[in-house]
Amino acid sequence: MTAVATALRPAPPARRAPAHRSRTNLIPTVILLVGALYCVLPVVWILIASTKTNGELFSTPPFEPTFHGGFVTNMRALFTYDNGIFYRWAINSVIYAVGGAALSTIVCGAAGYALGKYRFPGSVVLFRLIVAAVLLPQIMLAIPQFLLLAKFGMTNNYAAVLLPQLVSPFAIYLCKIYAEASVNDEVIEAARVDGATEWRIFLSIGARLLSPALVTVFLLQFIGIWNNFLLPYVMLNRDQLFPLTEGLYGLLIITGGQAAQYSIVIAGVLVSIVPLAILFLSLQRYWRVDLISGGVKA
Amino acid sequence: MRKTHARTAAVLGLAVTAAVPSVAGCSSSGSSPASSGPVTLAFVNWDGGMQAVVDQWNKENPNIQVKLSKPAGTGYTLYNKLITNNAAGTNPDVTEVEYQALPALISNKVIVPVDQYVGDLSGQFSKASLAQVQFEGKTYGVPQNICPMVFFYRKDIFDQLGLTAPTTWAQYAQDAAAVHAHNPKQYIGNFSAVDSGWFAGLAQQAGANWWTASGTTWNVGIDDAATQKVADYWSNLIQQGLVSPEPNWSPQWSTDMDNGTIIGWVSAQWAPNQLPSIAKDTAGKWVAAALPAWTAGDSTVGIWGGETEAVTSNSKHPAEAAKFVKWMNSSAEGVKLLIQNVDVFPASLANQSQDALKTPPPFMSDQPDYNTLMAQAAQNVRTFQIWGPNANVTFDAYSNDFAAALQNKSPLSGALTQMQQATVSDMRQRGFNVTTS
Amino acid sequence: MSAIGDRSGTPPPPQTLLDSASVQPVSDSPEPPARVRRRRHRSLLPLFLLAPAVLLFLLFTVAPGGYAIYLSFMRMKVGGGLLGDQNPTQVFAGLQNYHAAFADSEFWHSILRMLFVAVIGVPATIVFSTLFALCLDAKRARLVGFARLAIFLPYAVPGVVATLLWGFIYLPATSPIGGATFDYFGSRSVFFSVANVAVWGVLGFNMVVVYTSLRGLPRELFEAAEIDGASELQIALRVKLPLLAPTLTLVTVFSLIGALQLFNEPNTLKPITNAISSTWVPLMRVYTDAFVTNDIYKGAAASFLLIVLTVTATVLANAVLRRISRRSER
Repeated sequence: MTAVATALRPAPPARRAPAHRSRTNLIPTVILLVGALYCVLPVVWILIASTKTNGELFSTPPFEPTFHGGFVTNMRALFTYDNGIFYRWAINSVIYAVGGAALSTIVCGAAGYALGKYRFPGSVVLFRLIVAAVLLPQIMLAIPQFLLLAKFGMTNNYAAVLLPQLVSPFAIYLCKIYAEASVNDEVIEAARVDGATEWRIFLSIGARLLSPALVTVFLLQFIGIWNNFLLPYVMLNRDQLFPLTEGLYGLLIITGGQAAQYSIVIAGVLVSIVPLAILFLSLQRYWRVDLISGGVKA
Repeated sequence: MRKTHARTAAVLGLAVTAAVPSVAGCSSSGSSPASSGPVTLAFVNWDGGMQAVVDQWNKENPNIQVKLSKPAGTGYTLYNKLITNNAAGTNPDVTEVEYQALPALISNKVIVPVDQYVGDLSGQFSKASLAQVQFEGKTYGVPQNICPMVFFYRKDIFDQLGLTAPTTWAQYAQDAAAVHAHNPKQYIGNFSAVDSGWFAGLAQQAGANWWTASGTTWNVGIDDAATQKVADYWSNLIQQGLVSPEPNWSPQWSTDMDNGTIIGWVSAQWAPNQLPSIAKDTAGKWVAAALPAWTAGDSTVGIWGGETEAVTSNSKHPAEAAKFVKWMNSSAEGVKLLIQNVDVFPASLANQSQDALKTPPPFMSDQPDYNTLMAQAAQNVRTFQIWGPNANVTFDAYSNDFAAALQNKSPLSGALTQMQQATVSDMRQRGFNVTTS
Repeated sequence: MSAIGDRSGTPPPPQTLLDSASVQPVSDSPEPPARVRRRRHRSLLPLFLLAPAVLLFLLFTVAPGGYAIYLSFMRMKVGGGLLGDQNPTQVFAGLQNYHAAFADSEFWHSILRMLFVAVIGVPATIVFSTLFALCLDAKRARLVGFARLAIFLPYAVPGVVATLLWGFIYLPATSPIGGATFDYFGSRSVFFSVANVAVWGVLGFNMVVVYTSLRGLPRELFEAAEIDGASELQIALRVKLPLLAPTLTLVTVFSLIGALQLFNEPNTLKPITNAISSTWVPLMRVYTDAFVTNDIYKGAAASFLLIVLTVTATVLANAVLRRISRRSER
């Protein structure tokens, strides 16, 4: 497991100002600039489009914002649409993504720790099974999951969206590997000698040492759930239960009695991107991508 | 009603059933039709304005409280979820169903007959309307509305071009050419591959019968001569580039409708309810006219859309549910509320002369006789003898095959053949007796 | 979203997952076996810690999978009466549903279309994320911080939202990139349009993965090469790139699995164009079977076939790529 050890090393500091500044390396800079523009322009476009009324959206140049109160009108329309259901969707998204990711982190972290630090009958088989399940695309299970839950009348509630996403074989794998490498057996043994119960050891030593892996698992699961469109799409029937993505999609595709409200959708898209982008950019430091690629550095 | 039926099938709706279990039902001991104490009915409906109708009912019926749940999407996704959830018993008491979807729901025992609760409807509705909800002598709902197809056009632009509303399809084609010749970027209308109900309505007008039933045997004739005629007619316009291929409801189509690129819409009674959000800058500029005819003077039209409310087999209070449905769709009070809030043109004959219909929908304020035109069209409606039990498969095939034909610029008749094959093979696989003529 | 690179679930396996499964997973444990045995009796904690995961796994992965397999061998047979409502029953169908899927050219077409998108999107993702990572790592490159954040930004945009956004950008009425003169939904261009949305969404994540692994490489190697007179470009291509091979393998497997799960992008674009059908990619077809044409049995069969195909493809890709990357390491 040298690979893991390497991976777990903190990422080397990003390039700092070199001792002697010299001329800009033009080619990579230009390439990066082009890439950045490609990635940012659509978001900029949505920002500009959000300043336009429905009419202006289709009649003014795409990259020219307008200042006729369109932005305020759109935002007001978004937040008052259908008695403010947008708030509901936002809260739902938080419940699904934050709640789901937190529960998932606990479940997978606990399982990973158990597999990493204990040997018991069947532990090897179990681990192999989990590794094999990583290959199983979760999204393809969404429809069978719906059919099975529907059989028992368990669709169309929060649990139907939360529960199927709690177990992530990859997250368990990640935590197991991390537990093996970072939770020191001598520390555990010393704690045992001191009379600490296995429980205490897990809660006070294991969980703490596992925390970098747990943060990464949380963020991975958060993104995974936030982006999972198909599962809520099949499980839910009431717009009061929708997360943002289904809600906005519904606004654009079918809007029960009204044709699509583009300016509202655009405002909604903007509002849903901004907090997530801020969250991600600010959490980037804790986001140990190296853990993910870690496995390959054998 | 409204566009949903249309786009619905084709455009895969969002998950929408609102399979709200009937809450009060749990407390009362169960299945006795006339249970005492207040009853709460879960009702799924996606029409804007429906809450006002429900509120009035609730005010007058403290013992039968209806809880409206508005699904965010519609169509076969909704119906198929009703089917899947049926076994688990989680469906609402009352659900909105478009006419073409009733057979599939009956076939899967999702909804129940309501004859014993609503009595004989034959005096109150036209035969064409009842044909939509009656199967094998049983009635599965009270028809709410009737949606005859109508032609909408931009009167201002037609006037500029010296055109009048086409009365025949031949004239429609000539006008299409004239519009396009005058401005190659302008179209008289579009051919929409997402709206199978739209094309079915056009086929009905031409005399098609996609499904006919005798005894327990089905005959499927989606590629019959009448439908072929319709397909070939539009194929010709498409090949010449005289109509736009943009699907209805897409942002592109809305823009084109709003900025005068598309100046006509072959649509139905409910269009004024949709137009404000499709083309809101054009209020007052649109005028409705009778649908062009195949032979001059023939006023037969098909329908596009239309719905009933049905009572589910999961409902523990079918009697109360049916009572609510009947009140809403056939009483003077219920229908008046529907006209005022949901802009329906009622199927109930007695209510087709309500005062409320004397005012046109707001978007058509310059056309005071709008509803007179609808009443005339409603009398000349021709539908299929019956909707097949798998219209969903037919509609899905329509949206795929017609879209592909538009994309590849191939003749629509080929797509029609594929629709027929998909429908027949699906029915056979499910175990129906099927013949093809 | 299920785009290339898989944002819809946890990331797919690192390449060594398969190795660690086949090799002794706990072989490097420093503990002597005796103590292990003793601890086994000492605590029920591990079982308790594992229980929720195992239970949820059984309930939401194994059971639905099993149920899907069961359904795939059944079909609904209508009962008597015109509408078949007298006594509809679920009957054993044998391999009928599988036959139907295999015989249906549309099933294979949907797989082909998905592969088309993958053929465009996967190499684009790999090439550009590696290119950007190498540029980030290049000496004296400017705007590095800005570029890294900017390129990562789309990852925070949910796939459906990203598609809505690009949909507006493609449509002539609103297009800022010439949609009025170029048809982004042409019979060929639609593959690029769909792939573009997917690539846009995952480029940043993959770039960060490659970049992180690049930063983890021993710097001395590059300095040595520089002293030997190698140019920046030569170092990037001859030294850095070969060392990145294992990571690139991983990223490729990521992307392939992501591509197999393509759903959100075409599904969201479908209503606005004639170019995308309800069975455009395999997962859309499964959805249509289950929720549009009301044939959950056929949907279950198609879904099971897809799972088998996906797992096979992943294992194969993994094996092939590992061989390639080993060779390049030599």
